[in-house]
Amino acid sequence: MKKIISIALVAVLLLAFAVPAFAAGINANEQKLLDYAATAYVVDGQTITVTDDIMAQAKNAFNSDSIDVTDAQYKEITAILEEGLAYAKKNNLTKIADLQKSRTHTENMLEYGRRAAAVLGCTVATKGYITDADHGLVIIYDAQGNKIAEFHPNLIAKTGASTTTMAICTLAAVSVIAVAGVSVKKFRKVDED
Amino acid sequence: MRTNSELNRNRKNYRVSFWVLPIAFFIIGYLIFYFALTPIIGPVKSIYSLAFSNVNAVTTDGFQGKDLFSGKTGVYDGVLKASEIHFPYVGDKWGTLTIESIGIKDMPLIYGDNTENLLQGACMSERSRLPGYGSGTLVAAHNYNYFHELQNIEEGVDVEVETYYGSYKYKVYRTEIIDVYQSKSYWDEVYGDKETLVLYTCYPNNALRSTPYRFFVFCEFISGPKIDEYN
Repeated sequence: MKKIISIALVAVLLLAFAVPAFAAGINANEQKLLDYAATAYVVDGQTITVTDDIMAQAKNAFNSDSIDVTDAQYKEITAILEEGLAYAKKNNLTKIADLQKSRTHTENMLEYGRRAAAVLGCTVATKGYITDADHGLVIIYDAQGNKIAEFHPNLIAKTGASTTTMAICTLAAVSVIAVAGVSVKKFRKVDED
Repeated sequence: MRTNSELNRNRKNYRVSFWVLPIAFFIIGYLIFYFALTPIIGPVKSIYSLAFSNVNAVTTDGFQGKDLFSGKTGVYDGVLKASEIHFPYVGDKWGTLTIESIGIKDMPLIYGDNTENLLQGACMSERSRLPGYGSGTLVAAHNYNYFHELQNIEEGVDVEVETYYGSYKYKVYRTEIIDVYQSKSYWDEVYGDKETLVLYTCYPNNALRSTPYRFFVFCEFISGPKIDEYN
């Protein structure tokens, strides 16, 4: 009887440990990073602050199963963010539009982001020119290749007719007319002959 | 020898055949190709961008979203712990949208509103929060398919969002045509501390070019479980 109870107890314990515990949710270190980002900094009289939409995206990223910031990671990331902030202050970069003036600044700021993401085992890729409001993308992958975040400068997406569609249809219509025009001319020539 | 009237008739025929007919055929041809090609141009573009992309991803770039939603959960209220919910990755389907009054039934809800995702359903902006997280949920879809009937929605109508972790009900309280650059018109609702569902699509429906206007639908929270993201 004692043996049966022990076996049952072991089975229950094994099951308890087997229940998946996601890393989703915001832990204390992640909240400290959010608080750090929410602090406004003044550069030459202009206030740099992370906007509500970016904060929302950061909270979503921290909720990812792949992200669980430890104390050591928090310190390392904060040090990198301080370097990035110093660079932004030195070069008077206060908003994304400032990055459009110089690809060097964009790449340098992106490099700080890459280093911070690497602390968490994540990688950062870009698609297009990231300050292109319509097409630029910054993509963050976790160590398993899952896409945990995508950032494009525009908050509001384009959800209607696409200029590519228009261009293709225009080209098709013009081609049809050109072919029709040439055909008509050829038939007329044959008729006249 | 041709008479003057014959010459005039020839000049008139020349004007008609050289100017009027080509313009008419161009317009007709454009419309035919627009309606015929629009459904396939998006997928072709996606394939092209995969083949010729300049993405310098160091990990897999062909990530396919997962379907997290497996039917109604039966969870209509209470508090859920974030640590007990798998958070979606970009491209994952996290639920369905139903607005019976305008014929929307079980429309897929995708996490992340990039170009590829917008071809698959209604997409939530990653710069907003999922239902239950205490703020606004911003959802977009194309006006020529998924949200084609959105502009016919009326105030007071019920909206249902089924997620992979709970069921949510909302009610439409406001619709507005907003210039995307006038973010003050929607900012407080999307980033306030009240659960709100905000749907939008390009306006007007039949625009044949990009438009700066969006048709917004604001929905107040009626019921659904809350998420404690600190536990």
